Amino acid sequence: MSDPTIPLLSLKNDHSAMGIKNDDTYGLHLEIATTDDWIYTPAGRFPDYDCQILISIRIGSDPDDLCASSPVADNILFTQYDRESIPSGSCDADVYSWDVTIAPENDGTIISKANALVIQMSKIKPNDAEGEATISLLPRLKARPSMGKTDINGTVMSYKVEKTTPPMVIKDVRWSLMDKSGPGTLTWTVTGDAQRCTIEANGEQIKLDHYERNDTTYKADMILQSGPQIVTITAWDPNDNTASNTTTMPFESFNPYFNLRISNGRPLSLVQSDQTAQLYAVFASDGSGAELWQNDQSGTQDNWKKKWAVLKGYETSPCVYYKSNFYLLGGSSFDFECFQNKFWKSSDGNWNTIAEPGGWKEPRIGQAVVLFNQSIWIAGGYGSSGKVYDDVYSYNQDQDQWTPRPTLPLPLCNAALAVVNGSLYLFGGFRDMPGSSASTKLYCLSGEYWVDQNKTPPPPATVADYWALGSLGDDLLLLGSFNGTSFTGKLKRDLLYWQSTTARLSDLLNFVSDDQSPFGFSTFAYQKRLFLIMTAAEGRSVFGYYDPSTAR
Amino acid sequence: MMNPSNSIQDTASEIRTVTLLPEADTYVDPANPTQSFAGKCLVISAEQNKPQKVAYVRFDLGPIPPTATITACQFYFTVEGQVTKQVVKLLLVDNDTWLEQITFTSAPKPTTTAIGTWQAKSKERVTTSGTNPILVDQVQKKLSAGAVRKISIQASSTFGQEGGAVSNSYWSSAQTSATNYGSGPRLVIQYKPKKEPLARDWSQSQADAEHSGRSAWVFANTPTATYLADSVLSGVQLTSPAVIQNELLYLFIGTELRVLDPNGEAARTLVSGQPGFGTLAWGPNGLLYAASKSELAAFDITGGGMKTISMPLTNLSSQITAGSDGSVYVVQGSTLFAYVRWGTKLKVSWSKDLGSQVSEATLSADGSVAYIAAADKLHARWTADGSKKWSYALPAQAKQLATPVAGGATNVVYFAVDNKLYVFKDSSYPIIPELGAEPLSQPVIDRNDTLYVVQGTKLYKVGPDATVQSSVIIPGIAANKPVQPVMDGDGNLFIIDYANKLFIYKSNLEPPAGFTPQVLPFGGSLGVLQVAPNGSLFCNSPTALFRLTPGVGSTVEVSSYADGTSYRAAASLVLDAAALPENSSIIFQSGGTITIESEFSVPVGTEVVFRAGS
Repeated sequence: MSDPTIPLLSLKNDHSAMGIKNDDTYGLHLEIATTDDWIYTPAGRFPDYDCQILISIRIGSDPDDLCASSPVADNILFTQYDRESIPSGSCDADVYSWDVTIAPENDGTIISKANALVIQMSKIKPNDAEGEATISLLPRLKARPSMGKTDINGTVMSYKVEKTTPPMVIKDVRWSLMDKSGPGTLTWTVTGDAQRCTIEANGEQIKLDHYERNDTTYKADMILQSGPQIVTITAWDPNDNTASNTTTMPFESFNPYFNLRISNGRPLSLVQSDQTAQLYAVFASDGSGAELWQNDQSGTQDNWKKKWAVLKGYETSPCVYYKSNFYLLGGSSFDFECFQNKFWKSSDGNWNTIAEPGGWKEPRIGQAVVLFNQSIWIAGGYGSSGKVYDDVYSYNQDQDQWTPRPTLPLPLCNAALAVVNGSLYLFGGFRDMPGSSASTKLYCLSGEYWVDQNKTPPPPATVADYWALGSLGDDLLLLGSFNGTSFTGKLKRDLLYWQSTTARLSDLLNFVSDDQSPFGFSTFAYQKRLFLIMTAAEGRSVFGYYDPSTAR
Repeated sequence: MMNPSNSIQDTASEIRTVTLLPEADTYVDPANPTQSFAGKCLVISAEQNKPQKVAYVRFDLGPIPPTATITACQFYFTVEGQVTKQVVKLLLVDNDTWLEQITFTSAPKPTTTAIGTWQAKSKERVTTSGTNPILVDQVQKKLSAGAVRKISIQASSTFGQEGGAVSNSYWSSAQTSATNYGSGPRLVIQYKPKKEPLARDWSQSQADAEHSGRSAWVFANTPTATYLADSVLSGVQLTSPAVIQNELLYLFIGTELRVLDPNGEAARTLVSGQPGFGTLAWGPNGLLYAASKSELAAFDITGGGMKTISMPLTNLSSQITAGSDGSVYVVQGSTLFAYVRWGTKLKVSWSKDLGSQVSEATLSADGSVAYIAAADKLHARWTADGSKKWSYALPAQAKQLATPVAGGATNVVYFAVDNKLYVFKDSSYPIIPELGAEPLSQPVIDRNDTLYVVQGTKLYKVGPDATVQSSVIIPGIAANKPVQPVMDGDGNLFIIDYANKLFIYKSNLEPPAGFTPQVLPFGGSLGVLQVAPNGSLFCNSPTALFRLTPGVGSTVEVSSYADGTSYRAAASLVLDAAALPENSSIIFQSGGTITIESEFSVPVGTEVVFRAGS
């Protein structure tokens, strides 16, 4: 049988927008047809070749180079259409290229005269050198390994794109409150074919209900938080090319709560730990699962390293790091899809079961977990039957066994535990099902009993919506929402009552109604800050820290 | 929905799945303490963290054998109208005699035993957790509670912010789901039946609900070099193919349901004056389901054949598929209807319009999934409520669809569509092995889920991993249209072509020693084949029922016994071995004598049939 042939490529449509400035991003939208139908029908069950278009750009500082360097080219984003498979690109000297593999239609058609193949590249940062950049497209049949064939190349099609003045420019950015934080109005202008704008402050996207647009002038009401704010406005054209403008606003006061933006994905939980060299947390990266991440410096944006995957079905389970092992402890803290009664341990990414506590006869969610007295403590929870539990157990790794501990003063789920100065405290918890009436009492374990500390938070904190307990130094900290109002309380051993510090926990949150309240909490004290993850619906989960040194 | 990670999953074949619809449901309201809300949708509400309106639902566990071991249970509820975020808890109610007309004042009090919970937010359908050992324990206790095997629950909520917020949700009830069948409350239970001797049957078209096309029985010393052909019935008007139970053949002849003992007795009329029932299937407890274009009926064969169920159908377009739990699946026009047992009756559990040219429903081995082929798509739907497990769009409108065939342990399902075989295994994407260009016959599968399919003049053997293990040309076969092979429990394949010629192939795709394709002395277009538990084959023309009897040896000595096996001799069967296996089912048949040597014994739990002289 003769080798298959490859017809010439032709450019059917071009909706590209390319500028010169490498602060902004541009895109190419090419619709590629062929002079004759390109058809490949495998001779047998398994094809000898993969049908590909090899896309190549030049990198460097010359006018005909597109990007300045290989790392810049790495960030170019391909939109993957049906039948297209586009792995990461690779660099060879001053040429950077991608293999676009195309799955043939059922009748073997790869590209036809009538039906063009769409190649869309975005987030292209050009090299700041005015001129025409060349992009070459080579159709080929790439021989599959072990099939005894060699590659068959077609004819290269060269496409030139002119790097000229950016099609969009953002300028005249003004904040109505000048050098002050708070609720105000941001105005700016955009020239060019802008379709929409987005705004980030300190790397965190600000959700806008709407903004007003009058020709080239834009206006949006928003709250900018205290502390130095780096505000970035991005404008998007019809092909998703962007232009951006960054303005620094040195607001003086500093919010004790800081909402961190992490590229790791949706924050799910912080990992309680018996060491403080690392901050561990669980993030859901792409909806397909969750991973453990570690951070060994500031605990903020940078230095995150992925460790390994969290066991499927246990993504939102309480997780602790204890004696050099990670533990996943029963079902999730909130998710009704994830009732579990298995317990897992891992030191290397392979999860192995350990025995469950004797009283765990059914899967649970909403159990409280803390590290106390060199053991893992686990208390209460909500069973898959709807039963609320009051049992408490501790696990010692050396003995590999669970020990019954004094039962809670009443059955509770979603309660919070924290340890301060060697004492174990209990706050909150739903008395019945999650979302039912909640306890607002603070208990301390004393011998065989949980003793009511008679330190009920002052109004409005008598009616609990949601809460988290944490410890920082000698302070027991209570962060939560009570009767619709956020509240932060601090308690020292010699204080008679919760000392209200700041109510600005709400600055962390986008939650506007009970239906969107967070439902999972985890805290961990790290480098003089109390880190907090409040898990909520997609897009509403919060990863932040509380810094008492800046609290008012 | 119904593919959540914690849902009841399809499992190995020893597990059965049954869907129960409520026999009673209502709600009560403390604000209207003497008012009944029977027939309305169910309302569950809470105010200031106290339950207000609470729902009551009762299920009859009758369709589950009392000796079964429950392995999983899950409640399904469907939001009717708007729902506010709410957590609901199910409490066990010990009183199982309450009426739907109960009021707040007269409603039974729940126990403190919680048996399920769910959270409603925005999804229409909610389920309790699929892993709920407390519910499993409670259902198990109720199952062995004596004559009244029911479970009653109260559904309430204490969810809601303190300070006045009200949580209020509306849920479909059995009555309000009358026009949207799948939305009614339901309890889905998986159980392991107590092991019983193998039934001596061919229970429905293509043998079983998985449409394996295979008898569970193995026939010692077969296939044979010759098969003896004779007519069992002739000069009659057959309305339906036969189904077999306890080795008796049941079929409709004209307007009569007749039973036939092929070993001598003449056909006996059980019921007469019935419409033309064209498809039959056995349900549990001696219930024979039958369907005509306009009626779905059940006949109580154990009780003498009385018709106990009659439900109207519109434009029936499929054979009956009957699950081992007594559920029934039929296609009316282009809509698949699932019926479940409801007391002594059937009730529509759900229905789905699947486009056009819809095949019979094939059930997974555990009964949790129904597979259906249609002209444009292949479907897998959860039998619990008809929700989609997956669907696969065919590349072109299909012209010819075989009935899907579901495997056992490997969880594979095969769809033969035109000339392509689609093999789905643990995935919603098929593997399509390379076969020929002609339309495929109805496939059959062996005990290892290996598939056998005829295409034109070629017989293919395809593994559950979709690899073509081997193929063979069938010389002389007249199969210009797809044929309908069947198989015995040992993997021997029987095919009758359109020239009424019998072909036999062993599982290695070789014909039996000494066998040459046999021209059958039957006239007319022969219908589907059945493999009887004693090794005979039955087929029919529109006016006659024919039998093919293996030409076994005159004297056969049996030196050991195996479960599910039929031992047969033309004149003298000698049972040399001693004990039969425990809990087994065995047939001994001889045209003359059966000689039993000393120390022969039948253990308790074993079922053995001796048939001599016929």
